[in-house]
Amino acid sequence: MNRATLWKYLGGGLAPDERSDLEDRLAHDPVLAGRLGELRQALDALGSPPTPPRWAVPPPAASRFGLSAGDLTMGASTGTTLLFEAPPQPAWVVVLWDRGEGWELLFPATRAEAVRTDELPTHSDGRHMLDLVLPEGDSGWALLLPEDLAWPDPWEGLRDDLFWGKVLVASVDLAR
Amino acid sequence: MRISWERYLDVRDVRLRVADDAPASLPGWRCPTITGLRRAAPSGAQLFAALAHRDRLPRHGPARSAEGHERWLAAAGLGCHEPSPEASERWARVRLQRLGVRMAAEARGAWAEGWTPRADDAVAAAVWADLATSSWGQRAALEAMWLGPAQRAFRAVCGSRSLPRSAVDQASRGLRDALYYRLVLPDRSGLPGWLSLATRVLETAPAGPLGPLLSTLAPSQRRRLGVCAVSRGSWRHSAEGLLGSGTRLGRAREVVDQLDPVDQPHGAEFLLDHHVQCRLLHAWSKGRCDTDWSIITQARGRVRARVRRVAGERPDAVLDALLHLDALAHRSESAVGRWAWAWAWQELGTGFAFDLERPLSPPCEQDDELRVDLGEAARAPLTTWVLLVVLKGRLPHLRRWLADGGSGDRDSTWGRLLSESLPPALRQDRYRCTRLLLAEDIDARVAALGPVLERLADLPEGRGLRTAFERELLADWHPDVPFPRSGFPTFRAHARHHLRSGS
Repeated sequence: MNRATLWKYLGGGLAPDERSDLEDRLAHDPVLAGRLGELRQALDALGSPPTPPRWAVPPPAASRFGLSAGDLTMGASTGTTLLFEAPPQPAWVVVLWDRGEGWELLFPATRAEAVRTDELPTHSDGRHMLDLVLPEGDSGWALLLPEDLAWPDPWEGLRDDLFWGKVLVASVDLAR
Repeated sequence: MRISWERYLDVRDVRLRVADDAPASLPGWRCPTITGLRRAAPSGAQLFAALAHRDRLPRHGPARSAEGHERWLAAAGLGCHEPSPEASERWARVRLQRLGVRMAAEARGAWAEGWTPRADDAVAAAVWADLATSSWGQRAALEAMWLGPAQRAFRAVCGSRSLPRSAVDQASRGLRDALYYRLVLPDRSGLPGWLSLATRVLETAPAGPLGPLLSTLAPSQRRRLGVCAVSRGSWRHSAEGLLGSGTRLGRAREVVDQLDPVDQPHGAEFLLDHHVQCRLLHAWSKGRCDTDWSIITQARGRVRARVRRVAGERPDAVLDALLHLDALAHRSESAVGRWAWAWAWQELGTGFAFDLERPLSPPCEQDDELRVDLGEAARAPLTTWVLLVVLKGRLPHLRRWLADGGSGDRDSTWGRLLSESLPPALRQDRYRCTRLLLAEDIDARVAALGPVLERLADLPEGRGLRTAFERELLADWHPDVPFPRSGFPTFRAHARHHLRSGS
């Protein structure tokens, strides 16, 4: 019985026929049961799933509008421009980022900072442009385009809307 | 299962007796035992462990299960049996009996048993209905039930590859965000991900794993599976061994009949068992005699994956069958583990990029080569053409052509019957539809010609024979088949010969 099969058992990946075979062996093989126990401890040490509240940002493949990164900004090695196709009606622009620890709100931090899509500059092809500075390494970027932001604390409602698919969202993975 | 050494030896004796009796089908298997078992090449120690008389074995064994006794006997090196074809065959029959018991209990029985109804079955049903309509109403309930088992599978895959904690956390977060989208959105082939999970749940239904999936298939899907089974990989050879030497599509038609869950409730298992025995013998013939169960689970797993993928093409049928299951929460949770395990391995290969368009299993691209897309009008000339074939004495050619794809010779009359007498619509696609139609009912068609052949055989010889033939035939002769201009005495002789020979 190889290690991969024991991992598969622990992960719930074994088909019933395979599981039945392994459980029969485990019942009569203390050495095998001991090996399984060690792996179970290792799996448990890998932690439990993160808990809400959270920004339920879909992966890039599930983006609801086109979002891509342009070339690095001229003269700066850390800047880039997000290019996106916004819907015709103006919407607020909310930017989230993920530097490996989960999604966090980046912009706007205050009501005064908030901008709408029709206030952003546009590329020659009509797409909206948003300049940003990339952190070192890989990072995820998400753009949310809610119709309303209910100040003074719009974020819990926006998180809900995001979770239930009620807000336009797109994400992209970038690296520097 | 716990079993004493003494009891194990009793079971072993029974298996040896059954092996010597050599029944057509061994216990636990749904197919006749394959031929060629003498090709198995177990070692002398393996032969001894399986075949030695119990008097030559120890009085006690250290193991407590049948499997344990088997393994200990094979590894203990207690003796060596002289290899011979006869011993190999006996060994293989004993081995197949042992595996047959497990086939019944585990490969088939373990799927449909042990599912417990729970309080959240109704929630599970609501989640499934929601997924099928992509209405987003049950996302929270879905994640509450399935995110945990899915994350456990992902973490186990990461653990099996010894990935660092940071990577595991990243994969876990990515999964949390991607899970719902993976299930709701269609992949590149156009099928939403929930079908890949739902078909895994269906495998646990009564008569599972294959029966419930086959019950959701449309006839065209069964035909595609049938053609696939006789065309690809090692299945092609298994089908040839089981279904004789006819044409590939002829074998496919037999497979399709077996896949009908109403007429042949065990047909799929019959085919699968035969294939498994072929795979086992292939391994045994190369001396690989200690990987039996892996071979079985792998062979069965591949078939399940293929049938799942095809069944997933009919979302309504799958959902309907799914919502009729009891213990839906338990079954679904277990299926999530298996589904997420496969998904996690796919994601591992791409650094957990969560490309949701990539199908979890490749789509079935098998054409429905058994479909007959000829309307009644296009089929109508066939009866006249078959009559012409009989009158020209080429019925044996036609039968060979239907069975093997060739006539067995370069007969020019037969060649003209195909290329000139058969209407163009029936010659399309290299006669595919014509052969499919005639292969199904050639005997009935020929039998129906009996009365007219008798009248033709009784026609008087002489100058008026052509006129007599025209009087008998022209009223029902299909205009798309050219009426012969000469050779009527020979036609009459062939009609007589056909009636005499009873063919």
